[in-house]
Amino acid sequence: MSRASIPAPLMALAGLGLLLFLLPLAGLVVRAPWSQVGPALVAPATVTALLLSLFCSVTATAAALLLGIPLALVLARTTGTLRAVLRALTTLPMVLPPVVGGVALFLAFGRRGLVGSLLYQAFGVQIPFTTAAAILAETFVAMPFLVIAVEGGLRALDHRYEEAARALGARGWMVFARVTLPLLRPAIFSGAVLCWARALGEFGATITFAGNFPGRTQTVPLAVYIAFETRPEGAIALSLILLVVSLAILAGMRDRWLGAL
Amino acid sequence: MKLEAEIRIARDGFALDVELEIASTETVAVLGPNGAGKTTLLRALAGLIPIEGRVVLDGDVLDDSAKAIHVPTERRRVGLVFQDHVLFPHMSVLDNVAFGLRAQRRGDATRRAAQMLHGAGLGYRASALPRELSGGQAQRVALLRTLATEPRLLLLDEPLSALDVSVRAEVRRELSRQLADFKGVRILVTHDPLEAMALADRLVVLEGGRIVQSGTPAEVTARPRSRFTADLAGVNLLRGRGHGDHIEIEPGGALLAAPDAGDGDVLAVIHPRAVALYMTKPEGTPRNVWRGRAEDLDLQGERVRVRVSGPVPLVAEVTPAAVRDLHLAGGAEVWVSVKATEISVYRA
Repeated sequence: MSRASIPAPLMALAGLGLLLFLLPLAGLVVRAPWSQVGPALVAPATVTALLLSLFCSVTATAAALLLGIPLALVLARTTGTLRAVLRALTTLPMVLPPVVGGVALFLAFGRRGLVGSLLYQAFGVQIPFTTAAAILAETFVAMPFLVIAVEGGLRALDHRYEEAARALGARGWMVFARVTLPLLRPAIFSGAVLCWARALGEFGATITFAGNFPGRTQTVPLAVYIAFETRPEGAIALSLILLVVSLAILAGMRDRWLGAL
Repeated sequence: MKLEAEIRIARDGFALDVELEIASTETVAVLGPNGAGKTTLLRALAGLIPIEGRVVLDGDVLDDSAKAIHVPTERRRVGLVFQDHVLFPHMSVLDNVAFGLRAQRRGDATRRAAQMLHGAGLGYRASALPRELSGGQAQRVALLRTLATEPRLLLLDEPLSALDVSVRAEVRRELSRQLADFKGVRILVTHDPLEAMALADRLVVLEGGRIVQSGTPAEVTARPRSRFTADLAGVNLLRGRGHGDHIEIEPGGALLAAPDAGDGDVLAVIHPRAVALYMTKPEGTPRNVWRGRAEDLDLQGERVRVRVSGPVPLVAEVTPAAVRDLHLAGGAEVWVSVKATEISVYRA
């Protein structure tokens, strides 16, 4: 389709849509109290939130890799009703409001929850309002992004590579580790980046299930939300960091996402 | 060493029903048109698809559906070389060749793989990635990778079809040498008659999931039993009933004089060179003379093959001069004559 064939009203609406994305970003950059951003960045509260966010999101991504790749394998190799059910369960956290996810996590892993009560009785372990809860919440919300990406990679994979490996005498684990996994690397990479970005930005499930305790569960998005009331310059500084990270992800993945356009 | 296989597969409206007995002293080419079930047969022998029936290799039962035995691919010691090689794209040539040795937990995998590459004159490509190889090199590496595991059964799927014509002859010579050196049972699948005849001692012709003919290349081309084998031998194949000195051609019931036509269902082969075309009705001895129409032409080197319709549709081979004189390109009406002694008849 040639550019000239887009009618003017549609162009105008498209422009409005673009503005909707651009204006808030512009606001953030233009109105940022730049002189105070530096000090706000190195303020202990900010550093604590940043480090915690980094730790939680990386751990959540690692957990998602550990559990999500096998889950994607199962998803890619099942068919029929079972597959539909598994798929719906896997993608549910993507469409579920995160706050609802937090409530659900609480009802499962809370002290009186389905699994949580057993954990408490058996080991005296409490998950809610701990760093583990923040990680769990982030994994719950972000893992679907990884699973979907890896499953797509698996479906696009030429399974004759695995057949060739088997014909050469490789057993299941060797086929997986030496052939399937390396061939899936691009899908795993882009899935992990998406997953990590989603985990880094997680707010609703975390604040519901893990609470808002500085140094323990107060990740950057929570800190931004709280700080916005009391010390906006801190909130803006943290927001700028998240914006930079997002842009860096976009730039880093431009071949995968933008290159295809 | 010997392979005995009885394979039945039915799925998606396709049925394969094949019995094979192959000794390690011969190379067998499974030949057939696309969709005949050749690749399915190879995959079944490799254990990649479940079958009904039995597969016994060197006395070991690999499949026996009656006893619910199915030895998985990785434990069969069956080597499968894919049509487009399927080299692992993320591994060097050396690692590709060493893969099977490592799967067998051989400590000297890397050294042995390097030796094999060196022996094949591919040592200088050991650290290359598969995408950096030429088609011929990729084919040789794929074969080396499989041979390294010392399989008892070697399965080659269209080994030369992914190659450019320019390198095919050279790779074919080398493949022929490697096949001769290989100690186990050798089966290759192809739709290319030339490849089959150059590499195999015996042809097994597969059509519609069944074996229609089996024998040495000379036997198969001398007495084709199907349209496909007749085409690859480049001859006319007719089906009919023998009545002593003539054949009643099916369908249509035209009569064709032929000595030794025998009795019952027969097949008759007529070489296109034995089919003569004339402007006017020929005088003299030939008893098989009828009117026909030149339908289409196919230039083959110095000769032209003409498909002629009529009571007995045949392909005739004539000179370019005859095409001009008889106006064959214009779809002319011609007289067709076949000498009875040029018709070779055998039981169907």
